[in-house]
Amino acid sequence: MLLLMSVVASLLAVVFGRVVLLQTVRADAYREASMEQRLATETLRAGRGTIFDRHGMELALSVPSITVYADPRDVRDARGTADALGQLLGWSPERIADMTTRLGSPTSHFAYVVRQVPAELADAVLALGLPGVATYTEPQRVVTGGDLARGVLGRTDPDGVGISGVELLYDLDLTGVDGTVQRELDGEGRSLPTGRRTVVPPQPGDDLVLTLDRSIQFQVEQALLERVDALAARRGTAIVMDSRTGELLAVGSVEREPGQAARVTTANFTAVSAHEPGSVAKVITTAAALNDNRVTPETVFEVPGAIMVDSFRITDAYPHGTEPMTVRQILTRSSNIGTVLMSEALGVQRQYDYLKAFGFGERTHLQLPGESPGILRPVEDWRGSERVTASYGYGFAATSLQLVSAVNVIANGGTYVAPRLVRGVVDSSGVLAEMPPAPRRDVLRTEVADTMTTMMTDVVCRGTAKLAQIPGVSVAGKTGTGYKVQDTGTYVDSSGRRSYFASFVGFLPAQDPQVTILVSIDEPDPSTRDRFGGTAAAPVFAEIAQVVLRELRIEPPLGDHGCEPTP
Amino acid sequence: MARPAATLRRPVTGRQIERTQPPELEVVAPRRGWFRMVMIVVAVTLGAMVIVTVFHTRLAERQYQLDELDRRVSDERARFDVLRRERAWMASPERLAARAGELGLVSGGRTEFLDVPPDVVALVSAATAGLDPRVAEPARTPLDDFRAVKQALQVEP
Repeated sequence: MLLLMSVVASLLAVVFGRVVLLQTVRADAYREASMEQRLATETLRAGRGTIFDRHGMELALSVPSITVYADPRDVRDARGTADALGQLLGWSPERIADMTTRLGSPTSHFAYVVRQVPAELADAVLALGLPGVATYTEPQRVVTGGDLARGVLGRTDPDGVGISGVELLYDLDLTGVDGTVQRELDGEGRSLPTGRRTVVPPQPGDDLVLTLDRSIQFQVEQALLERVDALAARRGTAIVMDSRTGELLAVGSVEREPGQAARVTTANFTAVSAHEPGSVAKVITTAAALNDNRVTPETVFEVPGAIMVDSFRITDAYPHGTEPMTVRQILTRSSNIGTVLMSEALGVQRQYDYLKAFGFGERTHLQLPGESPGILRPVEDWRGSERVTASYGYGFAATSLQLVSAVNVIANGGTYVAPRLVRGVVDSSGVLAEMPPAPRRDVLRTEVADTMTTMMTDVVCRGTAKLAQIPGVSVAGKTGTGYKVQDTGTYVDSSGRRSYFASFVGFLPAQDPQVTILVSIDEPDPSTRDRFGGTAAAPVFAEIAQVVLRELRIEPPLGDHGCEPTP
Repeated sequence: MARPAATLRRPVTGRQIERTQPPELEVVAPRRGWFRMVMIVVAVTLGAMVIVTVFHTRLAERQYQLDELDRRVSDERARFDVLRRERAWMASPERLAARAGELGLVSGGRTEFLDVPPDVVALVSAATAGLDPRVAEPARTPLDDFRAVKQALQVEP
């Protein structure tokens, strides 16, 4: 009896000791393990912000999509599974082999089968009934207008991280903060009624309201596509800017592979690509000389047919003997030599100062990803003919964004206004906060800008840009035809041919500028007459200007009838 | 205090007992106090258990409904985004241009500005000054709708 009692007492002591151990020393670990079994933590993905155009129309947004994945631990037949998936999804033999390897990996717990596909396709995969293959929902970034403004909007990777364009530039704003929900579940995965439930709500990303106008953007891109195809050009870019605020209404980039139709690019060539602007730069030189009181529109220069500068021969686009030209005529006829003579009156240092003041040589305020600052070497480094070629657009390089902003100084009464792409931000509580206005600085006197406007109107009405005319509305602008530097280091390739960069920058109505438009055609067919700024780019300008007049309901000011008929 | 005489009794001796009649015994009902108590406790316990069970069941139902509502909110959010995408696509210039082309429509071509005498402008303005507010007021944009939904979602825990 005593023995039995001793055994029972010992067993009770062991049980008691065990209980004490569980409830004291190991209590926390077991409590934690128990909670882990019962608690399910689910990540609540924060929605990426939407990108709207200026009228509140969605340009890019995130929508739920289905991703198919496999857990190799549950896959019974890696080869058979990969074959079945490959047959349904149209995979290449290499991809099937790769999937076979991944599904057969003994250490792997997860393998993507196909990401972000329509629900119908995901259902078809699940209908195969393959063990270890399952789906989940994740957000997918979509651009609502197809290729519309692809270069500006940029892209995200499949995980929703911005990798180019606005998506990258404003990635921090667009990306929200993920939340979590922690629930206590029963054995069948349902929430326990009195169980623990902790919710950390996700903070959705901010939404961007851009300055772009979706309708104008589309029509700009269509006009560019048509022109680049027609001229068998390499690329085309166009920018439509609000002359007063610097807001970009459209930014288009298209390109064409040889033998193929042109298409909208994923890269924003208006920002990342810099070229010698050619004759458009004469606007800067002329305005600078006027602003420094070195010349007046009626100042006359004796312009020879050719000049030599440091053994470099400079001529005009058309042959002529020495003839007197007013400053107005120099700009209207786009005389290289006349512009050089003006720049000599201005001085090299002032030429450089004005180029900087007009925004060349530095990235714009947009600071777009990959944006080029262009090329503008310090004036101390200008050597030989370079000291005069900058006056007519050679020896430095500018992006389309820089060029349109520079010419817009004239349209904006002498004040430089930086280009602006974002109007406002909608925060997580739905409040729209306007972005501050674009920075601005005075560059020219207002009367100089007005004088330049009349001279640039002459360029359109009587000069090199007649194809930019619009009936009933005055247009001011300047053509530019630059030679592109070739692999030879000169402006001709090994077979003696040139490549052209044709552009036109103008604004309208000239008497009350509201929009400034740049069009450039990169490498139009050099064998045709349509390789110049006035023939390749100016007609596109006129087409885009018509669109802008309609879309923005711009009416010419009283008394503005456009170009008077030439007698 | 003295007791009343009528209530005083002398002690009964053994001889006196023998001389008297044997007492009449009768069966009395057993005392049921403890049983009643146990029954009450059991009843109360059972009642409490039923109440707790009902309460727990209701809680479970509510929790299930909450889970269901969570799922529906999540589904509706997803549907909202899908519909936004569809609306944006339906209204996109690319789709409108394609559809217009299918219908045989062509672009409006060049804009022409006509000189209208000021008196005609004044007359037309006067005649059309009373605009229907539904026309004059700008329509709500998708951004307005989106902001409203975002504000509503913000107050949700």
